Amino acid sequence: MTALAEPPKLDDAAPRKLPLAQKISERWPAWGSIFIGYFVLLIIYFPILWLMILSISSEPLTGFAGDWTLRWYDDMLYGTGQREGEAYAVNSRVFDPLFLSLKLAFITAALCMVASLLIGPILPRVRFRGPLLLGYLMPLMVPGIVASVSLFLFYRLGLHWKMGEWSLGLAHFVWAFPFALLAMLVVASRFDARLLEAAADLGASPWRRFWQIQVPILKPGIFAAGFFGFLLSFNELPFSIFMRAGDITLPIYLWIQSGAHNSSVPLIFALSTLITIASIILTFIAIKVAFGERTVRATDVKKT
Amino acid sequence: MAVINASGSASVSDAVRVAGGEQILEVVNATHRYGEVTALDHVSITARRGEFLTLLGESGSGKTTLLRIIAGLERPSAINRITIDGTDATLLPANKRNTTTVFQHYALFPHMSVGENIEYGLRVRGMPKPERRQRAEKVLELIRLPGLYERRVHQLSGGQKQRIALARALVTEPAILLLDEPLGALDEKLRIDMQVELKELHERLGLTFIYVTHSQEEALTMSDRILLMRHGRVVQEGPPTDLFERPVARFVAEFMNVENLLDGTIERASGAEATVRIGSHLLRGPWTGRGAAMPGTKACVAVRAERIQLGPAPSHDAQSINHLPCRPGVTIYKGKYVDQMLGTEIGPVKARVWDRSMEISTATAFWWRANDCAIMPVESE
Amino acid sequence: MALAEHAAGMKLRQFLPRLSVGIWSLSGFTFLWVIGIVVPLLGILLFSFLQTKGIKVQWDLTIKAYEKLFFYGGGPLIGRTIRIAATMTVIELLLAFPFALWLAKGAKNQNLKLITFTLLTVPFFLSPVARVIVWRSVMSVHGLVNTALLDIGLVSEPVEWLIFSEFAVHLGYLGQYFPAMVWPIFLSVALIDDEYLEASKDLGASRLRTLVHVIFPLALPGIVAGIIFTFVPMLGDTVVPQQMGGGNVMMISHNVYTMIGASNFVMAAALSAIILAIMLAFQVLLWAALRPVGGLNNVFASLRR
Repeated sequence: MTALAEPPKLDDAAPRKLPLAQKISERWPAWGSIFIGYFVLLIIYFPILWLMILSISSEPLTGFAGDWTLRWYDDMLYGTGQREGEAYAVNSRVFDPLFLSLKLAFITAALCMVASLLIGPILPRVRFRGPLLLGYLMPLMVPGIVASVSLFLFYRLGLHWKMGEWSLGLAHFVWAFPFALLAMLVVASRFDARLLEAAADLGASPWRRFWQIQVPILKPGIFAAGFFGFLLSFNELPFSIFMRAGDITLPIYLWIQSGAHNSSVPLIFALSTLITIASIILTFIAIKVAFGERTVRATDVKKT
Repeated sequence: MAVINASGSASVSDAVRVAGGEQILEVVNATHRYGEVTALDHVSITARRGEFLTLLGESGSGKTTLLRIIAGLERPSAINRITIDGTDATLLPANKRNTTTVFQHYALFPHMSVGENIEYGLRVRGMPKPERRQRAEKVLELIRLPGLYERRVHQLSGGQKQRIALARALVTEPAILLLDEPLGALDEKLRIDMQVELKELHERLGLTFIYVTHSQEEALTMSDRILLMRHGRVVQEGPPTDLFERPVARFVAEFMNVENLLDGTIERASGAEATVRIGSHLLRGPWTGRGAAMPGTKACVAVRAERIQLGPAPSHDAQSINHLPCRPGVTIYKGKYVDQMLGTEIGPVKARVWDRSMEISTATAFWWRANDCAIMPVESE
Repeated sequence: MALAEHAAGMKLRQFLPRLSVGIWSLSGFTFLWVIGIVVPLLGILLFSFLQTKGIKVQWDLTIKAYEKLFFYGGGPLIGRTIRIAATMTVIELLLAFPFALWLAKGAKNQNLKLITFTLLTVPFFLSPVARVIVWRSVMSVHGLVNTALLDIGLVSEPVEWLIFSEFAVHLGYLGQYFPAMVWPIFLSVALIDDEYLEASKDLGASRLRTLVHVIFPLALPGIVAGIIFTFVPMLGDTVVPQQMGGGNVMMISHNVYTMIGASNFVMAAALSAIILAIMLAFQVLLWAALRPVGGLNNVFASLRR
């Protein structure tokens, strides 16, 4: 902002002032782009905020907020009071997908951490790093549904393997790994390989060098890979649609329910709100870990 | 070592000096290639216990490669043997060799405190924490940075980092301390202070130092012995005075910053003396090349600017005086002295004048004592 | 002598095995990744030329799948999908480029920048359903917007095209893919040395000239990457067409879903293969755009800055 509205220089004997018209004509592109950018950000965040507000409103389907109530959360957690017979069923319909999603998210996070730790530090140092990176990032550039169909056809029709939780795990890993790898690469490409030499020189075995030098310094990248793996798996939809055998993850549950024009939509608002809040908190932690510490590390290495 | 152990025995470094003749390092016939480039070409070196040995050379001369091979960080393409402190280390990886390195860019671990950095070498050797800490504090005092134990690495200044890197390498009490251009990243004043300090530290600890540098001034100030390297080979080896006074080849004289290098052909040679013809002039001086001077071969007369006297020669004793006519050129003011360029029939010559009262711009001749110059072959091999 | 050297040289292979361990793990992982992921992804191109009976594959090459696809209205479907995705990609580019430019070179307030970065990152990790579902109640006939418009008197009866229409799909895409366009452009512009911009200014270039001749060529890789990261996922988006189009705007993702549901695997494969071919064409474009700045390997150097 300051670049656009520089304070007038006070030390000049006769401070020159630009005519207002000239000021505006010089600066409108900047102001325009700022306005547009934050306007689109508003379009991104308005539905998220409004979702939260509606989830505590009594008539969420009208789009109007007000008449605050926690009824939808109550219904979601303990079943719908009004429809007695269904109460227990609704409850388990929400929690079974939740547990499955959590399980998959933890597995994906662990796989992402291990895989990005194995690949991240070496990739910047090998000859074919460019093409390799492109290969790893391929799932980012293929639409989810295409990748999902491809994997399904290959494993189900090509190899005749039955879909199940393993295929959901694989699909989630394929989706999350490119992000995890990028997060790791941000940290790993700043890693100074001379530190490993210094450790070897001081008598550290390869195993010690790995655990005591490489892993601690790459810790932000490992954490970020884990966080990204967790969050991306937890909210993943397109891959899960085909790579499953009747298993219902939370996003699939939400997708099916939101597609159906029935009264369970308010529950979805409540559930989505909770997931969104949890995701935002985790994202903040991940960003702080990956980028907050990175700045400190980067300056460390530069000065060293 | 005694200082680190705090055993109170001041005589240890004397004891070490007594055993000064003992060989602590032997590298036999090391060759290293990076692809097509030969970085090290059949080099063999030795070092005595307690010696301050300097590997001097331009970048790409192979000096750092040699140091890394000694440390075990580089695997040579071919080698007969490396012996470190009586142990055959040819096949040992870096972490099993009894050497430590002070790196040019320090390579301090950014995720550890100063104390943890210094203790790292002891930690990997399984020393218990209290003892480690005690040793680290001792070595911090030794390098005159007590109280920095808890400090984070990124809070240190460049000079402090350099000393911590030194402390980290010293604390493991290696048989040989390897220093890879450790002062290269420091500013000039700090560099001169550190030269003195390193020299003192070497005296006090009696440890073997192998020091890599491209600065002839650093090499002259600190070393017991210098190996001057070029194109992966050792060009000349000896104490600083040898390299400074008796260069074996034109390259050595050039590297040791001899200002005037006058190329010609050998006219006559007799034992330690040689006479060189340049144009119509005959110059004589001591022969410092390897082997005997061969008449008819190309040779170079090296004479330092401060040895040149302006004015007519005091006597015409052609045996001990070289003299030439000249016309004065540019005068360069250098503060403590003045550099006077002189135009001669055999090319420009630089004379250094300390006496400011002298009238220099009118000089029509100059001279130097034959013993003040050196004559050596142009080619190094 | 030569013999001794040789013998020592052989034994020296045992030195520092660390890098080779790394190379092994890299090669092993890459092998699994190629076999398990890349081959299936590219395999769909082959698959689309086959026929199936149940889940049995018949290994005879045929273009029947494509014939059927276009016979049953695949052409307009693909056309509509590409049209909507392309329109939104252009709009995103026009909106994101100036913003990314300002963020990379104009914005000086560190806190504001940090907040903006966070705002641009968080959406990647939110459930896509949760991000668009609320539009339905806001834009519906009795929803917030229509009620407001009626109250102001701007319209006399509810506007129906606000939801379950092409307009709604465009709106849904706008927010969903904006960060994916801003990030690559931001990164490529941020890497341009300020000295270039200063130099251009010193040489008397106007702001427009600097933009066209200095910033634009150097930012081209970021722009191409941004186009890939928005256009390609838009083609296959499952959530926005379903939530915002509501059955009125048919796009390929829904059809792929129905075809798989009906065990019509090869037609689904053919439809996917067309998208994949488009994506591969874009990869070639990215490769070409990266060439002048040192190719893909340079991506690593840029991460280090």
